[in-house]
Amino acid sequence: MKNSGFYYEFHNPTKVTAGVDCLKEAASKLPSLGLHNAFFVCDDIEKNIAVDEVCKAINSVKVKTGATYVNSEKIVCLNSLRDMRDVYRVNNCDCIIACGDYRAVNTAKTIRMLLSGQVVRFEDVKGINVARKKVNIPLVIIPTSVGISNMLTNSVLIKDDYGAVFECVSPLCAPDYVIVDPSLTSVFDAPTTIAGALESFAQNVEEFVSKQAITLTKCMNLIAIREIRDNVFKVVNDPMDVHAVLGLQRAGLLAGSCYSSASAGVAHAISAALANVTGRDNYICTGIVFAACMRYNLDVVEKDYAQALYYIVGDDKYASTPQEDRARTLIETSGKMIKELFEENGLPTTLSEIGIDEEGLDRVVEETMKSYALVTNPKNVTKDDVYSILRSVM
Amino acid sequence: MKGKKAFKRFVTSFNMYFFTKAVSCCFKYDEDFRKYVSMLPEKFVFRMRVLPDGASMTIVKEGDKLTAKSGSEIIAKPDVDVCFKNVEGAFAFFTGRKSFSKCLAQSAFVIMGDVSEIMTVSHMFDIVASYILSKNSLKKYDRALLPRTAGVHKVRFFTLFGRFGQ
Repeated sequence: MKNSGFYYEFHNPTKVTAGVDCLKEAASKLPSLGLHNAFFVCDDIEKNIAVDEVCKAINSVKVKTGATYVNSEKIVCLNSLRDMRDVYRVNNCDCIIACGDYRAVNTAKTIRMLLSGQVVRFEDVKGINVARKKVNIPLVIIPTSVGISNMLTNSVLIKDDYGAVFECVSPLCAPDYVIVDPSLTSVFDAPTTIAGALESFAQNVEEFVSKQAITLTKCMNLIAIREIRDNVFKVVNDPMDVHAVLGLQRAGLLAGSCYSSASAGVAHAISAALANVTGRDNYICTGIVFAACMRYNLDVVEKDYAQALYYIVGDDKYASTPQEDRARTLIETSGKMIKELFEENGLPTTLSEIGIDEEGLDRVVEETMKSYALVTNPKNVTKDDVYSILRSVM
Repeated sequence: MKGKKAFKRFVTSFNMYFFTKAVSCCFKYDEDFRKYVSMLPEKFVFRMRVLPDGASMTIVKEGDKLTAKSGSEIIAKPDVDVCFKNVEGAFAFFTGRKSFSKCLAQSAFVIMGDVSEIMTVSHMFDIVASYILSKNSLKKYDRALLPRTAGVHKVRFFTLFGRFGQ
């Protein structure tokens, strides 16, 4: 039975509390998790006014913020990790709380993995499932932006002393508790929120057609796609609509919980490489290349795309679209939606707009071919394929 | 532990031996395989073993050569070390029931090393599988069949009868 097609594994150890204005209620549960003296990680303490609210909420339930570390690096470097480890130990902290966007989340997950595994040399955790749990250090994540499905994933990126980026995959990266309160998010600007939502959309579609997708993850991905369809335009019209923002965050949560099983695909491999080369945000790069990547995978996953169309366009249009055109309609609809929303919000839609020319392509292709996400793409990706995808969005 | 799952342990060791030979043959005859090898750093050492005390194989890249070594030659610190947690996972991989990526997704092994290099090795193994597995086995193997740039019978012949390690 184990080797038959019905065998699968799904792992998601994180408790999630989500709701409008749920922060205070959720914070009241923190002491029962054994949190007393928190190591607080945030991205930008001055711009992010949500950090104040979170600090007040956790202090009100008698959880001290023993130390605060502000990290604005997109990918945390080893020097920062060494500093953080020292600060954590000097202040006798017993847990980690992260508040912010993907930068704070990535940093908090990394330092938790290293402290929980009592890692002495950072190079020793390079790889997949290498770090083992030796000490229990609870990790709580409170996101303040929309598209951060990485809060539930089991992988982190670290920059070494020479500037090279390496990836670690470990169950220790997954947080114990995630508090999603959209009222902490609504203070952000609309372009970031929309680009984040579209990144969640791309991730859900990629997970849905992934080689490792299972029935459980596919169901979650389809529901997430519907959540995005229902809410993204509400947020465009009113960025302060907390219920719509919560819907988008739910989609991000669903994408994150499926990632450990289904991983992603070529769009995420390329966008991570583009973000690394250009220094632009990952979700902007995903928006640029996503439709081209869908077109690339079309011949292998046509049935899946046709199925997903129902959750994007709804009953009437799905019924009126001929069966053989459904997959293409999904690609056209998604591409059009992303392009229009990006243009309306002044975000780039081509590679030349983010500073990639013909010479820069080589580096992007090299970086892409190293990505873990390529393993689960439905088609085997070659260098030539990546070149053709990138040239189609120049 | 001795005597437990003896059949699976034997099959795994047997298939691992021929898999190692197939890696050498693919390096000789397959262009795509050589392209992936060229992406690996110089003096790259790859080891695959079955925990706790099962079979192991080591592949070393030295200049233009790719050398396969038997399990008894222990390398102190390989660049990439793939350790199957038990013989079950290794048996599934070496009999073509699960691809490298599926084993990865199902946490069948622990991998120590740079993830980007692991991905390159994963692509290489997919190419090897496309030569050595039968049509029926390839249906179970969840990767799409890669275009082969060398004759499948040639690679199979030298895998079976060629000298080990070259």
